[in-house]
Amino acid sequence: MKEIFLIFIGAVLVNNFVLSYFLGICPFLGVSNRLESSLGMGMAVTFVMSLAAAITWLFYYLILVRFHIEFLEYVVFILVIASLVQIVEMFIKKYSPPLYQALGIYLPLITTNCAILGLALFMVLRQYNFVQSVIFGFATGLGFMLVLVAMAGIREEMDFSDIPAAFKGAPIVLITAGILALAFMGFSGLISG
Amino acid sequence: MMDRVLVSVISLGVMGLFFGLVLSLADRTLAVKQDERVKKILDVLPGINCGACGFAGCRAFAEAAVREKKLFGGCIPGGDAVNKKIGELLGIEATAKAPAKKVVVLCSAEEGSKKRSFDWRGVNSCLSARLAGGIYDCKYGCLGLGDCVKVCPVGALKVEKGLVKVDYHKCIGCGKCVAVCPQGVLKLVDYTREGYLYWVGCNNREEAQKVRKECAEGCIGGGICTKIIKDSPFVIENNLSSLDYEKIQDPVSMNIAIEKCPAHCIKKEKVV
Repeated sequence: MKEIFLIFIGAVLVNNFVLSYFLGICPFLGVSNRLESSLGMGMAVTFVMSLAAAITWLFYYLILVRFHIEFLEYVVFILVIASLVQIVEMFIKKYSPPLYQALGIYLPLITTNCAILGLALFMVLRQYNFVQSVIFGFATGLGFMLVLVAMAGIREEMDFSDIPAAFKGAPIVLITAGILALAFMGFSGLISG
Repeated sequence: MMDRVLVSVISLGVMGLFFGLVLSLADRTLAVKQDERVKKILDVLPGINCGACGFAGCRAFAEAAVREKKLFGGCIPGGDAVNKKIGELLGIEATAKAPAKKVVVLCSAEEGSKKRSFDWRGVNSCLSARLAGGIYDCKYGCLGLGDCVKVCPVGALKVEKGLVKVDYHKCIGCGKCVAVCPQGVLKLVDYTREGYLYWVGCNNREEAQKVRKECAEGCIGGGICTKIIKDSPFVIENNLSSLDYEKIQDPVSMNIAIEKCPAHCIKKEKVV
């Protein structure tokens, strides 16, 4: 139980995928301009990550390990994740067109999102069991959502502030992301003690 | 060795097949019907995704038009012909007349007329030059580094002698350049029924003496244009004349104002 809790806290705060591994930067910068769509994207990623963790775990241990073809993990993970995202996309398109509109191009981008592939690879590397993997996937997604929503909140505030023209848009967002990453470094001592 | 190759090929093939089947099944059951009128409207639209209609692009506009059976502001680059066709496709009257707008440059000083403060060797962009305090003594005018040129979807802008020039045959009035100009010297304005575009080619809000020192083409805010014709559409504000486009008059009286302006700041162009 304690281990699961540690995995959870570790994935959400201490080793946050976006701010300490710098994975999934593209959607982090792309979808963080409105709180609403960032929340949607965060939930989509959390959902896909939990699902991907479970399914890639099954595929890895039931097929790859059994037939001793672990070297195929990259190909198989990408296949699994891409198909999964496609299905999620169709699902959202059918049942929530506004969310589909809001996510726009970023939903297909989850397909090739390094955060999700990174998740699957970390999961194998750290030899998590099935339950741990799902928790890890869920927590990583939550961590992603947390950062995305924090960023969106900041950016919505930033719309009202007087930013020098040359810093408007991407530059100020990157600077903010850097400061946010520095702030998250404060969590690094959280578990060790 | 052969075994491993065989096993990996077969297992990967099976997995691929499995996911392919699942996806095609999902495609069947989760299919969303798209209105075919969207595609038809897309064929009619110019497809340059300029965003002048206020939507993210031509597709977004077409979808919104079908969804709400409205033309909103209509397609500006497409003009009346395109809007009429879209109206027919939707079965509504194309009442929304696209506003006849073109972009004007509120600066007419070429290199030589405006005094350079220093040479700009930084990034070749107005945005960064402005951050450094501009290149010219006049801090209001066109910096001539062409940020607007880069965003123009139809290539209607070019920089000549440190001043941006508009090719009015090409300008579609989408306003993208207006959004990126850090100096605010670009403005989207209406042109008259006769097809004339009028504007005051200066953006300098300093007092007359300072303007004269900085630039040979600047508006000195003397206000002759506001008095020389009756009910003048010109207004002086912060030592700078500007046009109230709702009050623009017939070409004859406008010509009087143009001739009498001592700084030759009032510009006129036949655009249609």
